[in-house]
Amino acid sequence: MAPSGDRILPYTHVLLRLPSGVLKIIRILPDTSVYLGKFGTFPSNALLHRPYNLTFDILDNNEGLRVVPAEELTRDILGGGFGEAEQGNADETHYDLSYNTTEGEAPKEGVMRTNRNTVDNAASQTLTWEQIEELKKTAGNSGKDIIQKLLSSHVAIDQKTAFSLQKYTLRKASKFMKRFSVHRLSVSALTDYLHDSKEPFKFLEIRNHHLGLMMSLGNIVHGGRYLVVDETGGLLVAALAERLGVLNSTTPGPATAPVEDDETTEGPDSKKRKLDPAPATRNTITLIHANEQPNLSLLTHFNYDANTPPVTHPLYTHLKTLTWLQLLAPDEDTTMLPPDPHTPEELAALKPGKRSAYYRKLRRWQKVSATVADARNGGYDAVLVAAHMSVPGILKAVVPLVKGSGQIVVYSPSLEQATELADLYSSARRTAWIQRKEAAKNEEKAEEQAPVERDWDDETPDPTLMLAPTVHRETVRAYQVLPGRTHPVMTSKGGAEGYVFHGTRVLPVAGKVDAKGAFASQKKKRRTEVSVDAMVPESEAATPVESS
Amino acid sequence: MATPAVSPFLAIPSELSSEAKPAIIHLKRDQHQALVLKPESTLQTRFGNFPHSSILGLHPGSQVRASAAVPSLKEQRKRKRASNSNTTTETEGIQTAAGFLHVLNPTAELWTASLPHRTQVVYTPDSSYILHRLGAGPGTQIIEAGAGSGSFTHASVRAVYNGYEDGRELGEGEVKVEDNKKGKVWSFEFHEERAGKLREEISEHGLETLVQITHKDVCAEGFMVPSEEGATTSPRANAIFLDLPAPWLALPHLTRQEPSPLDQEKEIRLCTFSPCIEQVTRTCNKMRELGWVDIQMVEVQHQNMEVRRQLQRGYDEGAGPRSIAEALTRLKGVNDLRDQRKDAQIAQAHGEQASFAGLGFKKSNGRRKQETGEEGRIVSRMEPELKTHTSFLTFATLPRVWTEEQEKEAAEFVKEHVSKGVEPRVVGEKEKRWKGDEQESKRQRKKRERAEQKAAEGGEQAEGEVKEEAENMEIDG
Repeated sequence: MAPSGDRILPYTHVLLRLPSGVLKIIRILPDTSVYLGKFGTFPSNALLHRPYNLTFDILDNNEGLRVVPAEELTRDILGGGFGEAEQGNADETHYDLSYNTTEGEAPKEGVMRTNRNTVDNAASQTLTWEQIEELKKTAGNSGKDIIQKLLSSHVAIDQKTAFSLQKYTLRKASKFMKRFSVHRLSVSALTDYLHDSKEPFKFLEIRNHHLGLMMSLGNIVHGGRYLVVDETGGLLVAALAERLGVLNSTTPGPATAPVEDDETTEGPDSKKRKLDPAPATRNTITLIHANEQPNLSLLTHFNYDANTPPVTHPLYTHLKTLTWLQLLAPDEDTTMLPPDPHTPEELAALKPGKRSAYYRKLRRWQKVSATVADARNGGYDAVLVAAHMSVPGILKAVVPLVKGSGQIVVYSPSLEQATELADLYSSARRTAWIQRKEAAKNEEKAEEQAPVERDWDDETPDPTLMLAPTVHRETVRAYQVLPGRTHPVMTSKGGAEGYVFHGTRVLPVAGKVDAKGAFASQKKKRRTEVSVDAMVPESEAATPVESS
Repeated sequence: MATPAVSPFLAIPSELSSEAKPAIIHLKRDQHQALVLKPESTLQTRFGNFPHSSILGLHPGSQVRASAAVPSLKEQRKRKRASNSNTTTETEGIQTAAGFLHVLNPTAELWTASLPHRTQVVYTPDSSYILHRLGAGPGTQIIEAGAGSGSFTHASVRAVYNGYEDGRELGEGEVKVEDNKKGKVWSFEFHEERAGKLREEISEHGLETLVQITHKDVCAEGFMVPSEEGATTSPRANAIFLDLPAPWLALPHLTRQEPSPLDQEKEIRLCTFSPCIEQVTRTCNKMRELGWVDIQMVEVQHQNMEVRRQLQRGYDEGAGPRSIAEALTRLKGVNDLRDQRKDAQIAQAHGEQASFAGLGFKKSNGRRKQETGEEGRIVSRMEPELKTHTSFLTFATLPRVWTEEQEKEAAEFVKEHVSKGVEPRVVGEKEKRWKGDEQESKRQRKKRERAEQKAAEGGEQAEGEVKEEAENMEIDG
């Protein structure tokens, strides 16, 4: 009987955290050895069907793993497993430096030693590096022996303060302990990993708090239809899919392509062929991409390979992709042309290979044209954007596809990009837009309309379609929490700060909105403040101010 | 009986109705009002009067013009007074036809902005980060202790929702998936009145089956939910959010020992929300004592940026110089003026008229005309009032209980059912990332099958045929 509950199944990707803090993603296949560099090697079978979030010691000689109990783990974090007595009262005595002790008198119990008399000396460690290298090879016990040896052969160890001893032990532990913890590869874990080890510009340096904020501001809820422009390699799609519950396959395993039995001699109506599951109509993600094929390389971590999508994966039916050309000018895209029609007789006369090619083409065309029709129909609950390309043009194209009261959320690596967007939806621009439209209507009725919407060199979006455009800046500061030593972490990754732009799609009333009084003179404004406020019901932040 | 509609918090309805409660009235930036639409009522704002009947039936997100037809009683009185006394020509700023508003579908964010504050509210920047880090997704059972004003309740129900038990969200012809567990928020509040208020709100918002509100002091009594006849139900939660003054008192109740409120077969993610550092250290000590691992503490800071067009005003508009050049021109002008004054005094002394040439700048009336909204440069600054500190967020994980017997059992299982007993190959640096499984293409498969078939039949001739067919296939493709 299989062990019950939630556990690491074969062929899933897991995140390993090594003692040095390095993160590693491994796909756990049965019957393999996982090589972790200096931390050792372990058989993957020792991890399969075990629960997540456990910490393991790597046994020597590839013999397997030992589960480290939580108490041992905590002890090692707090005191490195040594000098527990001192650690116990460290909280109280760390800052109680007593200046009343006379010269030569032994420091009182409970009073913290300082590093006043500590002299840095490379000779303190009596082991030579050759000996240490030798120890690395021979010392066993998952690295605990070597740490013990290092400590015992350090001559100045008793001069160290309790804290510096702990720090020393921890430092050695992070270097020599053969230990790792295993974590579920969620989107938040993946984002941490990417920031740690990959070129961050590839995914626009998007961080966990940005993803979280985007999911909330985008009002992402199971059952909705969402439009995505994602040039981060699939990170945004993954975050969205996680929120919609379609990211993780319940049956990970060697991928299976949809089985197509092309030997059918009957027409397309016959159900002999194993049918592709019908695309979902709710709880879907529609991705618009700029190249022929979408770049969703990060989704391979969730066992979804966009080139040969496994039919068992929920994304197979819930993720739809189309190109900008298919969205904006479907007539000009050759993949949108239906395959040459054949009569059943003609089909029957074809060679099996040609016939199967015809059906393949027909199915692909049906799928693509359904996706395109669905996308052009709009009515999306939200649109999420994280793109390298110019965002104003993207918004011009996608905002009209969002339904009223739907959300528009854009991630911008830099403030400049975010403010540019906010400015495009300023109330001054909105007023100008309405006036221009009115003027155009009065002059030549229909002529103005078409060219503006067709011209993609002009990226100015319609500012009347968005309410309350807001630029959010969010930072997360991590802290070290240890008894008596709680403080913000000393270093962290820099780079793009990241901003989230958010607005709500609205449906403006047809015709002119009477907003007279909005540009009344200062004097008048002061006098009738209430009334002026009433005239400018929104986005006062985007109102031009005059600096004095 | 018709099933009630899906909460507007969970799906945008096609039109505004009195069923979907509440509608959020967007008056201006950061000024929202939650409203239950009733056909006979009228919404009176300083932007004008809006009969609900003019809003009902619209698509959410619609802009609504104030109704000129229905002046409010107050306004009628005012008008009457104005016409009687005939003193003031300035109306009270409420010009009925001029105003408009937007009517929006509610979201957790809009509700947070418009909800009646009963306690300190967990705002979106914090709640979004917490939910993301807790891994809350459809089907999650989340405990929320210290429900307070219900802000986090709405945010979390949105995250864990994956359908109602009665399947009311399903469209025509859709079949309810039976085996997936419906996500639920298990909310605890020890203040009776607040719990009652929240229960009313949740029920009004159509979320009552998705949020279980229990009036209980979790620090003293734990997280088991009382059901009928003195029995208790376990939330079987796998995500926990504690917004309590003393989370360390509640932690011992989050135990793996039955009766346990936790999902015994999953790891538990926990977040505590405490404003003071002392609370954090105490909570962390308790967590470590109780076997929680991966303890991380962070602080989320958030600002809204105000984006404006900065139009620089010069001397001609009654302000300072725009540039050094302007300053120089003016300074020179002042010098000239002084000289002129001297001249003028001399001239006056001689009984002549003097003329004052300008400073090079004309003063205008200070009004600037807006043309396209593209004048000036874009500048941004932080909003004037900042929340510099909300709370510290402490995250921790409680792994599953994993005994030696279970370990043995798992090892046994893997050996028998998963492992094929082959020599393990090393997965190292190169194979770190999976790039998709290699698949046998259709052509390869057919080729192989035919080859196998022919091989079984035997004969050199067959081999030749296979080759020929393979070539044919290639031409077909």
